[in-house]
Amino acid sequence: MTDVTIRNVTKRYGALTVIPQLSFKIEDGEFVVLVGPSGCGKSTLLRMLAGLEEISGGDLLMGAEVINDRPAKERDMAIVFQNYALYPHMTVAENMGFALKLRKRPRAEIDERVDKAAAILGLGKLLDRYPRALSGGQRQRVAMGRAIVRDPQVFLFDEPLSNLDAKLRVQMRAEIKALHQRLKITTVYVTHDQIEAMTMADKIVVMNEGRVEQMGTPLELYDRPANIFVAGFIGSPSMNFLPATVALANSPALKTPEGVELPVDACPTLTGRSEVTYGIRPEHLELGETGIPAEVVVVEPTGSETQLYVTVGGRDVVVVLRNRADVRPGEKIWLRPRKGSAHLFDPNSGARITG
Amino acid sequence: MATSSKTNRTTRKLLWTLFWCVLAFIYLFPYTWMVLTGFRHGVDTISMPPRFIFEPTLAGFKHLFEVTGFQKYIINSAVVTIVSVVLVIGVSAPAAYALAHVSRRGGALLVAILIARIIPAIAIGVPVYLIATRLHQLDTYQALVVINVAVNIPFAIWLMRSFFMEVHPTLREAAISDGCSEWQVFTKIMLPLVLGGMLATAVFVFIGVWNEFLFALILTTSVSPTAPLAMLGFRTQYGVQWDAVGAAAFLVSTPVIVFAFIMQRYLVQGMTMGSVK
Repeated sequence: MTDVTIRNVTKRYGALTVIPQLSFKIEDGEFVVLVGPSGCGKSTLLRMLAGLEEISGGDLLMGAEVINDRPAKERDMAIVFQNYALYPHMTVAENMGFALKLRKRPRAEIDERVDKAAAILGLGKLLDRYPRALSGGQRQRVAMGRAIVRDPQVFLFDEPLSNLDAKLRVQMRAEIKALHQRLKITTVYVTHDQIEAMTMADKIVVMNEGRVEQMGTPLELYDRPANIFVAGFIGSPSMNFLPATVALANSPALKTPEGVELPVDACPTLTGRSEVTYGIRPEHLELGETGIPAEVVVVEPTGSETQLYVTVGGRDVVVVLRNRADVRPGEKIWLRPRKGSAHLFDPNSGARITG
Repeated sequence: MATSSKTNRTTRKLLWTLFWCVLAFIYLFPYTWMVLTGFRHGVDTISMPPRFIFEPTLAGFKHLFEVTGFQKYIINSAVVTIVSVVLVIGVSAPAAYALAHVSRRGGALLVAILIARIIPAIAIGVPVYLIATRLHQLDTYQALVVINVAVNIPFAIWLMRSFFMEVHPTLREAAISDGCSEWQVFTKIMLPLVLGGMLATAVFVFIGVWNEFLFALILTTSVSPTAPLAMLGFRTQYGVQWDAVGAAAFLVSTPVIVFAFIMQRYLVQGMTMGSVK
């Protein structure tokens, strides 16, 4: 096991720069999730770590050693691909033992390590099968097994659950997390699914256009998003954003352009500002007797919660209620933001302005 | 209503069957006639009306082997074809793999390959003859093998590249990450997966080289002429020796048909390539 440092790494394809300059560190044994929209550079970064793409500048380090020019096969990182990339002409056991066979390990050792990994992943009865005879979840396990058998210093996962159905994805998510807790191998996991990121990561790196927008624990990112991008990306459903003007100088009172008053806690940094973007998470809005006036458009009961699509001064807002609500489309309601839950952002830079 | 629809279906089936029978006849008749010619006396072949019932004879075959020395032509064809196929596949498979998976600047080479394929063989006949003469390679196996390899490599690369491209690139990346060198990726991962396509390509190349006539005519005289050339010798000043022509055509076509029949699974795979994932 080892830590991994990404220091001023850039990636260019001809004149196109996909990663301008990136720096962060992945601690030994940490589970880091790179998350961001398609094309943000997260998979490219993972592939550069794996040695499948060259870096255009900067340094990649494993421990204290620079590995920029070290070929992929000597990096001791095992990668699990989105499409599993199992060798179709090899059985499960052959797939899992392939890397060891290449390293000319003794047959007995290969068998022992394959059996051990198969036991961890519940693949014991499938070792003689070919990948075509496996279900999606089983193939995913074999792909992980292939990585485990190598006992690498770093695990790399490139959107490994994207091809699975929703139910299996939740199950595999828990399995990967349990696996990490058991093996404690440094892991870099790429996904565009923020729920995967939130549920699995020790640390999340939110990327956008090749840059790190914010890095931190899942709850740090949820509670204190650094900017509108992170605020909108982390959390499901997404945070609601409303443009607002500061009603009175040195006063925390905010109003939307339509004149709807938005309650906000005292915030000295508002001094001198006239416009802000008001952000509130759907689950931080409750029904009340007073508060923000809204009109219900759609009601979606899911059993455990109720999702309301409402308009506030003509703007769309989503509300998630933990209890069952007896409201109907067209009904006028009042929304009460939970105390201390509003986020304020600079409308121009998108940066967080509340403390 | 039900009866009418059933009648329609039967009529359609009958028409289709008839269509396929006519098509099969159009395709098979010339070949069948050629084979029959090999087992007929010359007079039976040219008699009018044509004779479908005749007294079979092996005179044509006897003439081939006892007078013409046809075995030499067959051996020449076999040597040139086998060596050419092995070389074409040996060179084309790694090249096709590299173009499909490794090289990012293969575009220009692919265009060059296509151009090489487009140029008609007759256009390079004279230069090839001159080069072979200068190098003292006229009437040798080497000359025929080199030209057949050169002519077939572009086609083989083009075809095999398509097979390699059907293998998902992450398989190569997974193998590299597992510790494979590029050559190991090629031999341990890619080749087993494109074996069918490779065999299909080999069949196409085999057919092409075995049937090759033009360069054999240009480059050979008495030592290394191939079987298709032997056919020329049966048109003499006294007329065409139809029995020998038929027998030779039967012998020349048999290996191709047998080979193609054995490999038909792969041939179909080669021809339907890309249609099924």
